[in-house]
Amino acid sequence: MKLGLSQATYRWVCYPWLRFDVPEFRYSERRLPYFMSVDPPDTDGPPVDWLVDRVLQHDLTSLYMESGWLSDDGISSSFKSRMQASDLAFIGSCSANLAATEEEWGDPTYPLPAEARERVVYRSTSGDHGWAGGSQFEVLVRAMELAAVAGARIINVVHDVPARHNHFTKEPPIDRQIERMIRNFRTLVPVAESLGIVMATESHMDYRCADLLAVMEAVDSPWLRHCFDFANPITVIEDPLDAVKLVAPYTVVTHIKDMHARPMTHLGEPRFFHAPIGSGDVPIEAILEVLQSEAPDPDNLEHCLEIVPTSEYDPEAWLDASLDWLRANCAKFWN
Amino acid sequence: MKLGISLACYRWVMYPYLRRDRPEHKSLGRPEPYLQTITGPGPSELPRNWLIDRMVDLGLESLYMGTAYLDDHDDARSFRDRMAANELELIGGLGLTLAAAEDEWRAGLFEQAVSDIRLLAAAGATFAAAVNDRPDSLNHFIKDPSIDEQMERAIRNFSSLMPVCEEVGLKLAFENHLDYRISEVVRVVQGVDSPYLGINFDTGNPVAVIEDPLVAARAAAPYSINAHLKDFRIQPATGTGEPRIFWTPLGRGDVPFDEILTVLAEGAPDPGTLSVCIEVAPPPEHDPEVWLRASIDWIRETFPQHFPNQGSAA
Repeated sequence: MKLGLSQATYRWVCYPWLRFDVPEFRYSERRLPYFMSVDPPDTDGPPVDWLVDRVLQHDLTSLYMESGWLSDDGISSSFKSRMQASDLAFIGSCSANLAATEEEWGDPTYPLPAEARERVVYRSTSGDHGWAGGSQFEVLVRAMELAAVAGARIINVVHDVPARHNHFTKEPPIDRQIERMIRNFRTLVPVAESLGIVMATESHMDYRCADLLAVMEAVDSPWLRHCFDFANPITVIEDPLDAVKLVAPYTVVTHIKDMHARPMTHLGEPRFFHAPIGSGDVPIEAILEVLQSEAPDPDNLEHCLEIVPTSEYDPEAWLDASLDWLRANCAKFWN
Repeated sequence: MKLGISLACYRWVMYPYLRRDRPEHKSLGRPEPYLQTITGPGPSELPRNWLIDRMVDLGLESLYMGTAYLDDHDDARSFRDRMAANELELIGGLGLTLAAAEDEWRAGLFEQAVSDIRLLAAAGATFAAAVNDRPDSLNHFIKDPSIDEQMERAIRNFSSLMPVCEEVGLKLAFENHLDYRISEVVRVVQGVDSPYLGINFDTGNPVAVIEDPLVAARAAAPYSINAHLKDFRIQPATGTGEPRIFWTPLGRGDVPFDEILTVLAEGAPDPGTLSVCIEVAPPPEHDPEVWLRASIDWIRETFPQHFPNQGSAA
């Protein structure tokens, strides 16, 4: 097994639309972070090179990052060269409404016509971010194409409207959402096969692994696999250890993170907080054991650290502490 | 089933150490509770009598209340008579350090529990929800002692209380109280294996220990002798990446009541007499009476088949 980095670890430091040092942050009513041990990137665009530097700084082997940040084929090729020169793996990320209706999803004809490839663009500014100009299908195809040019062999395809559709929403109910996801992913399988890139579902604070397992079983393609997130099952009231036992045979990458459970509070509303890995209530070692024995290729399984403290904390300190804990307490798993 | 309420619905207006009209409440830094339709018991009013008045006003059948509002056996008998005069049933509440080590249990906790059981029986209770009174240091996530050790201790401690429960005719109902999973509660009830220990199933609390409420209901039903109705809205994704769980009036959240009440109706040992107590406790700046009345109305309108006595009260 290997250790990598998820871009989300630095979301409050480097995402153009979230970073704490832009004026817009002052409207968030969030506390400012003091005593940071890492400086934000000196670009106001996607911080691609800055993230590669962070991966190298921490002696990691992969980077999980939004492929839209690579903008076009030229930048993607250049990024691929830098990653290869440093012997780093790129794991792409893209998102859309996975539970979209057939109409919202759009015409699943592939390859896309040239005009669609021009029309569909990714924007990233302090005020806006995301793909625009195309249907859900077109957006995902462009994201997968860029990821493939950039050398990715795996791309997470995550749901991007969790407030509208998730395990608990009733319009439509979860069974119908799963049916839609099955139909939509089936249209992407030929794309993934053509590009030679494996799509990975992820429990992304929206669906249970059990829901996603139903999708993967129904699609039944080697081009659709899973990214197991160690803590996200908690957000949909699914035990992480039970969850990994369901999806381990499909797991080709992970997001490793921890969360602290505080079931009883003064208000009577349970809370779940981010925690440095090893400081929370996710059974990290037990999950790693399951993946070691049941994942299809555990030796090459990249665990991308996704340590996401809230904005007032120092993500670098949390990442350092998490890496120290993993290297000290789970050493037997790392190549 | 019979419909009642838990006194926790009024925690911010009547608990002496929580009520929001205390000067100390202002230091919590919370918004003022404007436009309220209810105030707590007055200085000369006994909280337990105030609760009876609320029950009568709301047309309910049972009240969940702990020993904190009964000073002695005379108090208890007086309360029992007043409840009986209003045809109300008391579901007792008993705080226990149920996973205490044996030496601690024998050094006073056992005697206190026995005393509380006798007091509740004198107040007319034939059921009492038993809850863990140290949820911060003893719960599903605590590693020392391990959850297995906690459950073994709970089996031993509950077993020690069964003779007095039998003597006074009071059944304890181990509640999943934002601390343990129902799978663990069931383990304890099976381990004790007494007709005087069942389960008080709380519909919302499984969420707090990452347990699906419907799965929990199916496991709890065969042992459920009481229930608390609670709803939560689960918001998995947030701007911080930390999920949020919020109180809601019944029917406005994500707890599947239709399925859970059906499970209880079909699987509980005596569904006809099963008391289910609404426990809706919004944050202190919200109006608990508005939330409670909305919840009662929703239950009456949506599930008349489960609450035959509530048709005439509605």
